[in-house]
Amino acid sequence: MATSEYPLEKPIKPPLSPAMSGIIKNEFELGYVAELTDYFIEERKRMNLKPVPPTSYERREAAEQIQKLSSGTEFEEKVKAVKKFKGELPKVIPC
Amino acid sequence: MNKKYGVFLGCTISAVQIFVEKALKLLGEKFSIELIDLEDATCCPEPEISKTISYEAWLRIAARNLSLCEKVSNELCVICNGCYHTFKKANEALSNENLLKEVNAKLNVIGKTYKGTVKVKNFIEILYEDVGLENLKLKRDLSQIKACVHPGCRLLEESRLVSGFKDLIKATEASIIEWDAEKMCCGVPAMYTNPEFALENRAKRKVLNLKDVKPDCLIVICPACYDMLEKAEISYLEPEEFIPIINIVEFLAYAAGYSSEEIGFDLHRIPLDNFLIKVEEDES
Repeated sequence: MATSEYPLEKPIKPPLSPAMSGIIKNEFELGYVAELTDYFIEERKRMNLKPVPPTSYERREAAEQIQKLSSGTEFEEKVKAVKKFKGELPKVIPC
Repeated sequence: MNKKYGVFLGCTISAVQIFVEKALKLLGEKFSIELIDLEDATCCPEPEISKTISYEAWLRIAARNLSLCEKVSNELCVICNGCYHTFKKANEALSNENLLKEVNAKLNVIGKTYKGTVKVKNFIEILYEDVGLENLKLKRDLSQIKACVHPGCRLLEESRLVSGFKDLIKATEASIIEWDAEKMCCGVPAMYTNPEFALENRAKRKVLNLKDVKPDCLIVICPACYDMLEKAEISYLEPEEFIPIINIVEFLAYAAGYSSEEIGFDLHRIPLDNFLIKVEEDES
């Protein structure tokens, strides 16, 4: 479906770039891409915003739901490979 | 106006560009728009990588976030161009009943269902359509400001949003200067595969063009474009050549009369001093 919308879009083949690996790993494990640091938690307080937004930044069960929804998809496969091979997908050596 | 929207801020605004979140809350109060945070929301997910790696997972996760909005409102307010693209495209796909049924079978496993009733709106759309340009009643005169705009690729897909974006800027009396690189991508999507190309052939070319045009500021909407162009200015320009980059939401909050301290302009890595001096000189 995505390819009919953007005909030039191609499936991503291994290995993933380090930038891609980090993004999908964060998305899968934490539920978000950008990390909320202590510095910005303090700045949020100073700006009278909730120190930690009530999203997956605060609620880890949201990330667990992402993991369940991704089960059996290529997304889960890529994340597993990123974790196992520290960013690079395994190289297949033909016999 | 007294209208209620579910608000989806995405990852970058809440974590790094909190001045946009603050400006959004201020404008919500000013125009009596109730903006309700989507509790338990996750990454939209971002359309560049997740959607290409697995369309199925991307659609299920987007549907989960849309189902969270359905609990609080049938209208979703989004600022980020990437999040807007994800929800708009996911919603279009889920208008297919069979696909919606298939996705709901997965959502049911985590105790959720999406009925397909959410209307996805960009915040600028809410301002110019729901609030109305005539009701903005902006207090601060910004007629002395000459701005360049960078709508970003995802916004350029819908010309009505680009017009709305520019109309909102014109409503502040600021003038828009044309520049050659206005429609050129900032380079973010290319960063994932070819950072050298993204920086040298996109971000650098954009900021060098900006340097020649010398606007008082560059107005953007997308937090990813903001981040990329800010990094490019810091990398390729001398500090005295920096052009302040401002999100449209902050720009409008400032035009509405809120102070730079209230919005959090001090959190910008590129100082807004010259922009503020120009406005304040005129005010005094």
